[in-house]
Amino acid sequence: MKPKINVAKIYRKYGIMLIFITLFAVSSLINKNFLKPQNLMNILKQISVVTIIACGETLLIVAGLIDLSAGLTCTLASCFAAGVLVSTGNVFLSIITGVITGMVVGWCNGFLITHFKLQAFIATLAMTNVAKGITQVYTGGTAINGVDKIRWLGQGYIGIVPVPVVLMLICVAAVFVLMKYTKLGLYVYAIGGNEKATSASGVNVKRMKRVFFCISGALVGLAGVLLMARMMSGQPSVGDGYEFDAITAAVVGGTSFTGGIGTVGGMLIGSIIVGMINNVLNLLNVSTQYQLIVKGLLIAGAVILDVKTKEGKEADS
Amino acid sequence: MKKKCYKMAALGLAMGMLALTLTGCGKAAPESNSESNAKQEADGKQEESAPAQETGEEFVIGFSNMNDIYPYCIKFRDYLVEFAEAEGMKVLIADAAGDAAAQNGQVDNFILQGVDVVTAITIDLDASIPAVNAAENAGLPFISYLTNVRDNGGYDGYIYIGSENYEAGLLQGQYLAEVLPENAQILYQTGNPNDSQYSARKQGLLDGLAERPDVTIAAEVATMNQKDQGITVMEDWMQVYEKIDCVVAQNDDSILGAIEAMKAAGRFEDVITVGLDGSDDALVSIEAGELTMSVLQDAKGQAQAAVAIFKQLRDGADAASIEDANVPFQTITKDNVGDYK
Repeated sequence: MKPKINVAKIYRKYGIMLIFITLFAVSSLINKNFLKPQNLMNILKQISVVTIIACGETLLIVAGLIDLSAGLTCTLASCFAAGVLVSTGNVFLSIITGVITGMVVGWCNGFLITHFKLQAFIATLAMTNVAKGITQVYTGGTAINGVDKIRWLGQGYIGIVPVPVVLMLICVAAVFVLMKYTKLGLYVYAIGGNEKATSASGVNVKRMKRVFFCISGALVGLAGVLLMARMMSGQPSVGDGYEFDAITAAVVGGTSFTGGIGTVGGMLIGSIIVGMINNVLNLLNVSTQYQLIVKGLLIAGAVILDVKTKEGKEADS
Repeated sequence: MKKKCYKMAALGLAMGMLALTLTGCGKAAPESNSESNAKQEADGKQEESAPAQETGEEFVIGFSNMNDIYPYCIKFRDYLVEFAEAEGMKVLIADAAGDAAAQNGQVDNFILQGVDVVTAITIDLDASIPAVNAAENAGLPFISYLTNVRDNGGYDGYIYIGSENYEAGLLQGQYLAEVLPENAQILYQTGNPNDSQYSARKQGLLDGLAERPDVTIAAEVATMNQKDQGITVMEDWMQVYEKIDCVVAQNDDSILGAIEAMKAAGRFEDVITVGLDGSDDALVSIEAGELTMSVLQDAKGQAQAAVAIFKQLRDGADAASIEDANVPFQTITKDNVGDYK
């Protein structure tokens, strides 16, 4: 029998890179502005907030969980951080507030899921409303201004690299190390791959899930602070829907919804692909409606490949 | 034991957050509103804005807001409650969160609660017809703000209070026709192209610019009236356009985002920027000499017009005899911003 080419395996390993390289080449050919260094930096800057959220989201999806409250928790964290910055003038305290806000919401998600045995989907959906409500009460619906002190975080540069990009890369690297080289990372894959077996082998799965949500929440909170710095204000209406952009980045990057499969490296490429598409469509002056269609098809395509991969995995075993 | 400590610590943090929420940042809306706001959910639970004091003669208004995430909607709601309560009326509040079906349900609830008049920032000119019909069946006047329900929903007790979106766009266009240099290019950030508001504002802008055929709209992107999108789109545009003459947005958040992006890139010089809404942030920006011009959506004026109509109704006037009210938009520039702060 001649060796069958396993499309799924190839896609897992190289597919995302192939899509990335193809899109990059096509984009640079159809628009002369695309390759400008400034533009490439812009793309990374524009995806920074969502990518940081997606770091946590990838971890959760690999562990067989999901967080639909990430977008509005990001909003909540950005408003709290803005509020603290305005009232205390302390940048450090503001960042800590944002991160802790995200962690607390993450812990609540984990608590609902492990203590009351709720589906992650439902628990985090409920938390979405809570986060939105608290944001509205806290801000009264109006933006919080006067955060000039944190401008460097949103608009500064280290060398030629914008600070948000540096922060994003640090987060990606940290989660990469965590998932690949630590015991905790092993548990992420083990719980996502086979929860019962992991539990039987003596791992406190419930506690682990809460820890995962706290880590993810901290990243969401940090993303909130960055969002606030980028907009130079705490905006109570911005952030809704970011969770789906983050999930899209993870899925396009090869993370499987069935759990146990996926890396933040893949997610980063996935996120850049989405950012690149948005950017080049803007450069080409394509109207928003068509942008939505292209984005939708991309997600569908990635999920089709995901399903195919699953079939391939079953065939292998 | 260790686990318990960990739980307690987390609980403590949660309490801390709650405390932070309740103390607020000093900008929060009046307390009654904030509280009702918190209890509302997306599917539209209802809350009373003031403690109920059933006297039997109290004039009760049921108000369904379009969406509590928009500063303008919140401003309008707060003015409406303030002015109505000053007249000794009671306002029941609900938030439809942008969902016409949820709003129609809220209107049904108001009718069951025995309100004297049903009012809403209605969501859609067609989808909101059932709400008007429900009011008609109950024999209650229906007052709609901003969105004029098609053909009054076929009800003569329907009253419209609004400011024409077309007129807002027209004011933007007329202003630009005056100030733009020869052959200027406009970059246009818009709201959701599915909304009737989008097409009305755009048509107004085009008509206002009609006498300036040299001016072109070089690019148009929907930023969904969000500040983050305003930043992103502007960053991309700065890669394409060597010189930026003028950026126009269909609301203030979006244009303030664009200004933020241009400032960050060091390219915010001699750019004419135009917004719409006259939000508090926009007024500050105009005063600082950054935003060139905005068009004020007069929430206060609209709420005053509404309460004036409530008074007529309370005094026994027939809703069918009350005229629709048009509250005009106002052009705000650095010259007159002081009058609106």
